[in-house]
Amino acid sequence: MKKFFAIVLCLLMVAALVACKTTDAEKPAENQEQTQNETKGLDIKVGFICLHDENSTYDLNFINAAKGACATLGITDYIIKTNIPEGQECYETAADMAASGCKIIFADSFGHEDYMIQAAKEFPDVQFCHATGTKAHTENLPNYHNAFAAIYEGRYLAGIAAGMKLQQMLDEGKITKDQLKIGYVGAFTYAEVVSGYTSFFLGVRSIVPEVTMEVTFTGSWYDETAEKEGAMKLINNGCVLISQHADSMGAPSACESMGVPNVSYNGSTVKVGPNTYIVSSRINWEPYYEYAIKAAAAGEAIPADWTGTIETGSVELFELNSAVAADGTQAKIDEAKAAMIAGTLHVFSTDAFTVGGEKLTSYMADVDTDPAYTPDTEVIKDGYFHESEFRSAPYFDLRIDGITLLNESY
Amino acid sequence: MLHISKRSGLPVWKAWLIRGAAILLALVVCSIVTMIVTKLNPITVFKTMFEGTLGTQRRVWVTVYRLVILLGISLAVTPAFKMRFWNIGAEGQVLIGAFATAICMFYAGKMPFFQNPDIPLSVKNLILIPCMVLASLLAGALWGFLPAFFKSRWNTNETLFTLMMNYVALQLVKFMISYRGFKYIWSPNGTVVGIINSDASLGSYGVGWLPEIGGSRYLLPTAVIGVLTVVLYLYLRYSKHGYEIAVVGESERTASYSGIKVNRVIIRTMVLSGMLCGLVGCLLAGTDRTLTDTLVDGRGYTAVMVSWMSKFNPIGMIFSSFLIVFMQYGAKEVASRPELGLNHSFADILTGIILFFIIGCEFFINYQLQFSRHKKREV
Repeated sequence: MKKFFAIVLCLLMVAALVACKTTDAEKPAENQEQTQNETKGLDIKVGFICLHDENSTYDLNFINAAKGACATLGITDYIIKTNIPEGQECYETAADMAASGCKIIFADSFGHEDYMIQAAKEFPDVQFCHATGTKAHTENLPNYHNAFAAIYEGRYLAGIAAGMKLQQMLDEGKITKDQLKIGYVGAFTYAEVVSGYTSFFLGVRSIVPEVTMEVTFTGSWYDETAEKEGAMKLINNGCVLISQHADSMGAPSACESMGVPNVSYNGSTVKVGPNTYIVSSRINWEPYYEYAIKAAAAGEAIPADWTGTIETGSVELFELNSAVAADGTQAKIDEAKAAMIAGTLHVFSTDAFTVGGEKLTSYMADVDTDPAYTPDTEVIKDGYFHESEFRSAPYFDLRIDGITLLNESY
Repeated sequence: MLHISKRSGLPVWKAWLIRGAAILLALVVCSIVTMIVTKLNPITVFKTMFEGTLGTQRRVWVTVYRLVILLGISLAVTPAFKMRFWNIGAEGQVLIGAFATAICMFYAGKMPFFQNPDIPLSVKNLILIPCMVLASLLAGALWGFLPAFFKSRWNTNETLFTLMMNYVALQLVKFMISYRGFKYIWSPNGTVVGIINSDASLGSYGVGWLPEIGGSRYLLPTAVIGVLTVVLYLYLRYSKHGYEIAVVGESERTASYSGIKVNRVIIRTMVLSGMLCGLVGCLLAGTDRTLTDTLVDGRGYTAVMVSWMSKFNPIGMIFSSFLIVFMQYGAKEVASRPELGLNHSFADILTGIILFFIIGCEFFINYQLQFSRHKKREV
């Protein structure tokens, strides 16, 4: 009995000691906080919801943008929640952020949308911004917004870099003209992915007109094994260059091990593929974050759909890997970029592609998400497909000639 | 030298004192680890945990909701455990219950009756919700019945069987909510399950959502589980069934000698366990209004721990559930604060330390250590 109490007392003492020590240490921390408060910029609390964490290139891109935007605007009071699945957890997190004082909340994944809308209905005074979503312009909630960027332009530019590489391989005699086949690892058959691989392909084809492409899907945004296997399958099929739209290092590392050039997405993968990585396009979310946070702080309305472009700084290319990229690539990219900004180059120009052997003059796309998914908007005007104009999220879902889908099950 | 012997009947208050000391010790170790690894003030970390679970009124409600769900699953697995039937299949039983509920909600939302805007929502729900409950009970019962039936008939290993049933349920749901499964089986035009019946332009808006009582959607599950706790306490303690369960648990031979039909008790109890799990699944899907593969989120396994930690006492489970919910979600809050600069893994480390101590202390409640005198003299 005595021994027993002695143990309990000892424990209490240790606990007390630890507690004492830490109260001393707490003081400087508090001071620090105070000084931070004094130099604070915008007085607004911001929340960010991410599907995965920093290990995913997709989420890392968002996390960096979130931190960057908050640093630029001088915001210290922000929360980033990672590993939030596309389910009730998203609603709970968003509602919790709203209830604890966040005035604007961002979510980064397509499947978060319903749950963000649910939270937006519950907290009408808080702004909810959802990247890649499609429902804001039909949902008619003043505090719920979608955003995306015209990333197809960036993909096209990255495609040019890939095309230049293919041309170099042709010139050096490493491949022949009938070997001109490239591969693409996609996640799902969503319009976002279709738009991405098509614009990439058109970029490549603007340099090497004979090229064809094979696409395989993994059915997951982040599945390192499946992406690696997908890339391997394409390489074994005879693809001489690979690009991808999925978030792990699977495809880049497969390319590096096989010595096949790779065009990446969302982040530079030069560390994984120093001998194969050419270039990467990405959406820079900082301009949107800064814009939306400023608007929320000033009480101004945020549009239901916001589409970033090259001009807003939302569509970016990472620096070329000069060890792999062909000479003259940068000049070609700059040329195309200038033409895009000037409005003389349209990625989805109807002269650039055919569907079933025919040139398109009209196409009704499903822009307004409704239960029946009916095509509702004419998107071909003035000789090109108007992508990301009627809503921010992509809706280009045509299967153009020259691209073979190996599996469409996702 | 060290000598370990079994304790005979430690007073209850003393057992709780040991548990309290274990938690305290766990916090101390957590503090030390925090200071060494992160150079952060542990008080800040614990304060953050507290804020994350009880900081606002909303968080209190969410914590209560998480608590009652965990408590509900723990209650559900308890009859089987008391019978010494190693049922670790709660995860799958809850998920399959949620799945059955979601199917009812989804397909009802497509029927003309439920889409008719002239029929009040309360009437629709009065018809649909009992169907959802029934479906979830049946689904859970099936998931509980199968391992029990095989056990009683062919003496299969129930631990492996129930574990495998979890994967069957999980993969089934994963497939059904995947882009492909959803498109081909549920809705040819859909892409994701999302929030079921959430299209405000349709008459089926809100069909099958469990009603919000007093402005909170979390009150109903709390009330249901509250009643369940009392009922199960009485069932295990005072009913004939409860007694049979205890006897079978102590010794199957004694049970059959005293005229208890052991196989019948096993099957009956597992069906009950499964049904209760299914009911919790119904509460989850109906309250969250969705179906995802993370809906149960490992709580079917955590519940096993809660049940054991509380010695199968439903009242004790309230406390252990709260403790675990507090730790887990507090740790998540710690991970989300950029000023702390910690990620999720660190929060998991803290939870791990705390659980280690809580489970470890049961050893000291059941056994005592004696240091022999010879050794002491030598020193």
